[in-house]
Parts: sequence; C-alpha cells; structure tokens
Amino acid sequence: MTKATQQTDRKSKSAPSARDVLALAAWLGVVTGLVEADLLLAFQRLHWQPFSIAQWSVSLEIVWIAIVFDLLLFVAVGVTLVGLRHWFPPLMLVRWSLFLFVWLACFDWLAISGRLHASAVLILAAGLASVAMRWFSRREPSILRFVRRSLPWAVSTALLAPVGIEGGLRLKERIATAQLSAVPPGSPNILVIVVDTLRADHLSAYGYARATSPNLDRIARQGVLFENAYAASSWTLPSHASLLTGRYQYEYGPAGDYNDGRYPSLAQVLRADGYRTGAFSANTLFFCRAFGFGRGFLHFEDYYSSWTDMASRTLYGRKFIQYSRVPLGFNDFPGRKKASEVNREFLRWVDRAPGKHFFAFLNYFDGHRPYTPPQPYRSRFANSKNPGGIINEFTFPPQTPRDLTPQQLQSERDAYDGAVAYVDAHIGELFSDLEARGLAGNTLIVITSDHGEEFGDHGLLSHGNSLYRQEVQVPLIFWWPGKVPAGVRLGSPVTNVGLPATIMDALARSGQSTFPGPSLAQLWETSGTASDWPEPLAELARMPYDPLNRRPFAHGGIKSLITPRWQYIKNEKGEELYDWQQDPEELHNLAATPEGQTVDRDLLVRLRRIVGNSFRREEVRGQSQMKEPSLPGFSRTTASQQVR
Amino acid sequence: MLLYGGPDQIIPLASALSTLSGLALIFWGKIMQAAHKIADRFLARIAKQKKPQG
Repeated sequence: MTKATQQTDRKSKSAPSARDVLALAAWLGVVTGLVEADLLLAFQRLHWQPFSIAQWSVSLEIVWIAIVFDLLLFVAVGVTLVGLRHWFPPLMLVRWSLFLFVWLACFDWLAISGRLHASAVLILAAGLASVAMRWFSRREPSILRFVRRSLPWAVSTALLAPVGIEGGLRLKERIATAQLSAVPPGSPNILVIVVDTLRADHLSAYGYARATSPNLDRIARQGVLFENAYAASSWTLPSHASLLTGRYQYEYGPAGDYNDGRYPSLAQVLRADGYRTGAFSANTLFFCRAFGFGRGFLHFEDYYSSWTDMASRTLYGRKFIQYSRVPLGFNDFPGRKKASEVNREFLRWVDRAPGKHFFAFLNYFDGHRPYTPPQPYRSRFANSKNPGGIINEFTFPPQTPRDLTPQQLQSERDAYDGAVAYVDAHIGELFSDLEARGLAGNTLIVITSDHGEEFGDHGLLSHGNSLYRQEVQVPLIFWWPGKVPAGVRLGSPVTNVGLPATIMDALARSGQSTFPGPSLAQLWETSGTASDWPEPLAELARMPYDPLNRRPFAHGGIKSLITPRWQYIKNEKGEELYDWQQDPEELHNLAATPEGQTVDRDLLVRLRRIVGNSFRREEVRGQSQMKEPSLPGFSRTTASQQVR
Repeated sequence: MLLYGGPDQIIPLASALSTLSGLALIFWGKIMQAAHKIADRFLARIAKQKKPQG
C-alpha cells in the first residue's frame, strides 16, 4: 500500500460518520443518566427540591434506571438523526448531533433542581451546547477517537449497573437476614395492613348501607373491631409516622422530622428481636424510603414496580408526564401500584424465606384519589360505566365541592366505594393465600387506615384538609385466631397510634418501654371497661399549599381531642365542638352554646396540657416561607408526657 | 451555587441570570467581536488624544 493510500485510508477511518452519531448518543446518554441520578439523590437528601419534583422520590436504584432510560432516549434521538443523514453532510450531522445531545444533557441536569424557569433552562442549556459544539469543532478527531475507544466502557456501565445495584441490594438483605437472632418461641408473624384513605363509615362492617367489604366483615367477626378508632392526622406522612413510632405529631414534628430517628420505629424493634421486616407500599408519594420510613425494614418495596413508574422518576419521564398529561387526558399516577401487585410483592418476599418469622407492613393505595379502580369494581355501585376520576391529585389549586355538580360528586362516591370493594376483595385473597401457606393460624393481622376522605362534607374534598370525623375516623381490626377474641366490637374512642404498644403486648413484651402505651389489648381483655382511657388526639400542621386560603389548615395548625361524647377542634380561627354520638356527620357546631363553652374550656385545658406550645412551630416544610402566627389560648408551657 | 442555594424567592433572579448567561454563551463569538471593536476604538481614541501632546 502506498503512503498516499495509507493516508487516505486513515482519513476515511477517522472521518465522522453516522456511526459516530450513535456512539456520541450512547456515550452521552450514559453520562447524562449517571449525573442525573446523582443530582436527584443529592437534591432529595438536601431537601432542595420543591414539592412538584420531590413528590416523585427516588432511591439508589435510580442510578441504573436513569442510565438505561437516558441511554435509550439518546440512542433513539441518534437513530432519528441518522435517518436524516441524506440531508446533511456527515460533518455537519455529527456537530449538530453533538449540540443536540449536549443540550439534552444540560437541560436534564439544570431542570432537576426545579429552581429555574423552564425557559431559562432551555436557553442556558443551548448556551452550554453552543460552547460544546465550538470546542468539538476545534478538537474533533481526538474527541471522536476518545468516544469510540471509551464507548465499550460506557455501554458496559449501562449493562452492569442494574446487575450490580439490584444484586448488591439483594445480597445486603440476605446477609442481614442471616444475621437475625432467633425470634422467641411461640411468637407470631405480624402483618399490618394500612388501606390508604379508607373511611370507616364506608365499610359495611361499620354500618354502611352498601356491601363494600364482605371480606373485612368476615375478618372482623373473627377478631376485634374498634368502632371509634382515630388516626393521628388526616394525611399520610404524619399518620404513618405515628403508626410506626407510637408517637404523636407534636412529639416528632409536623412532617419531615420523622426522619431524624429520635424515636425508634416498630420495624427497628422487631428486627432487633429477630423478625424479618418488610414494607410494601403503593403510596410512593409519602410512605416511601425517601421520607425515612425505611428505618428498620430489611426489605422495602415502594417505587419501580413497573417500567412506567421507573420512567416517571427520571427527569424526562417527569417532563413527559407534566406536559402530556392534559392533552392525553391522563390524570392518574403513572404506574400506580394496585393491591394485587402489593400482595404479589409481599408473598414473593415471604416465599423467599419460608419458616422465618416476619413483620410486614402493607399499604394499599387504590382508595386514594383519583378513584379509578379496575372494572368491574369501578362501576359496581354506579349507574354509569366509568364513574370517578374527576377529583385527582394533579389539579391546582385543589378542587372544592363547588367545582363539581351533585351528580359528579355522587359519581366520585360511587367510584370510591368501588375502590373499597376492590381492596376488600384483595384482602380476602391475601388471607386465602396465607392460609394456603399455613401462615394464617400464627399471624397477628391488624387492618387500619391512615386517614379518611371527604366528599363535600364541610365543603371539603379528599383529605389533609381538616380533622373532622370523616377525615380521621378509620377502621381498626385485630385478628389472630385463638389469641384475639372473636366477634368483639368495642365502642370506646381509641387511636391507632397505640398500634406498636399493642403489638409488643401481643408478643408478651409489654415490659418494654419503647412505645408509649397503653396497649389496646387491655380493652378487649376488660370488655372495653378500662377506666381513664386516654383520649385520642389528632393533629394537622399548617400546609403551604392552599393559595386561596379556603381550607381549615390555612388558618394555622389544628388539634383535636376526642372524648367518648365530644370531638373538640381547635385552630387559629377558633374552636369547634361536636357531639359526635348524636351528630356523627358533625354538622352542628356547639362551641358557642352555653354547655359547649363549658366543655370547650375544659377540653382546651386538657389539650394544652398534652401538646403545650407545639402549634407555634408546626408547618409542613414546603414552598412557603411564611411564619405561622401564634395561636391564642396557648402559652409557652412545656408539654407533659401524655399517659396512654 | 447562587442558582441552587437559595429559597424559592430566588427563582426569578436565578432564571434571569441563567437566561442572560445562556444568550451570552450562544452569541459569545459575536459578543467578543463587538467587545474587541469597542476596545479598539476606545484605545485608538486615547492614542489620538495623547499624540498632540507629543
């Protein structure tokens, strides 16, 4: 070969080609995904993201998910560009491809924080891509050579990342499981089922006219049902925090402070006792690892249950949802996990270590807005084929009953009841699956909810608005054949915050003072006649997400004390008093009546003794920086320990 | 860090600065050309003013 031919040959090999476009796409796709994942995790850790981004939380697996999805996206763009090569000379194609890929990468990284307007991100990303293109044009051969040589490494990263991360997590769990101490003999398995957004009075077991819960009715007949159980709050995060720590919101803080580990969680204590601990959450908004609920759980399944969910947690996935949701008429959570999937995840985990005692915490999300359970449940209680779906998570400002006609409101209730029936059916299937595995006889099962839901009651929709009975009265059922008596119904008002103490009591570990008592078991052992039973407390911090100040919490944090006759609600506007026995819908506020004023004074004193001055500090961390005004009637007294 | 370290009230300021930075980077060549031209003219004027004294 002559020297001229060799030079021509070398030049043709180094000349940019359509193949280089794909190489650049793959290389930059992997790098973009890697940096994106790191930024998502870092910003989440630092709480730097506004809620609109932070609501799609992530965990370590996002590293491989972002790499794979960005690689696929960039290669798809690259293939499209290669298809246009007939209109561009190869050099121009490669340069403009580089511009586009760098623009996509910079847009991705700049948009993650959520602290720049979209137009600013677009322009700054274009500026950075321009710089990259100018730099590339001066060093083109060496850059292309580097990309070609390092491409196998980049692609290997994309292939090995999922294997490494998923394999590593599994290995970590197996090692931790092998190191568990032996559970004391005679101990049961423990299964806590939280049906998110389940109002007690929409269950047939609680007297609802519709047969929404035949399985729960049967389970309640075989166990103990509390007719007047209350959640610690009217939204998910503080309610779940209380369920796992046995503490009220005024003790650990309004929302984000649950994470600080001040109080041990039930999962930590049971794991130390030798239990294999697992959580299976469909409410990936709040009951997830990002909010610290992973403490003590060896295994936690929240996100990534489907390809749709995975994609929705990448930056471009979020942008796609944000901008295509309205045109496509899509108003549900992408990749929303159904009860059937939660059951499948749980049973798969149990089957991996048969014979090992477990503590499992399940969250079903099917009753949460938008109410769109699968058919035939969706239309079971409705006249129309597809009721529900109007009240949804994505409307801002949030909807009020005035935005809906009476027919639409009824349609929403019908769909909600269909969702309740759907969850009930899958709870029934779960019990059958446990029986088939020989586990039912030795498992303590608790069924409850984190809060209720409003359908126009008090001029409100959904939950997290107030502390009215519709939002805080929840079902509470204990089931353990032979140990928990069958067919017992107890009417004393109780709080499901007593769950950890009750479980420890059931394990004959009530001598431990980890969780404040008393155990709810005392009530069924004494047929509900235990005296001086502590009154349930419910709390709701001021939320920054009500720009029109239409909802009760807009006027400051709310506290509520529930006695055997009264529900007392105190907030910045004033106070409310309801005789819930006579007025279960809480339509008649008796605070201004002579009797009511006497009761108010007494209950305010009792409430102040419990929570002290915690109103002053309680605001859910979010976009608002407004300070909450002080609440009249509260002084800077220190809170005394509530005896429960 | 200015763009990421503040509370939400900084968004409009950070966005404006980002937009200006992006435009500057896109038109960097032209901006530098214009800056050189202005600098050359300014220096030429100064040199002219100094000459009569010499």
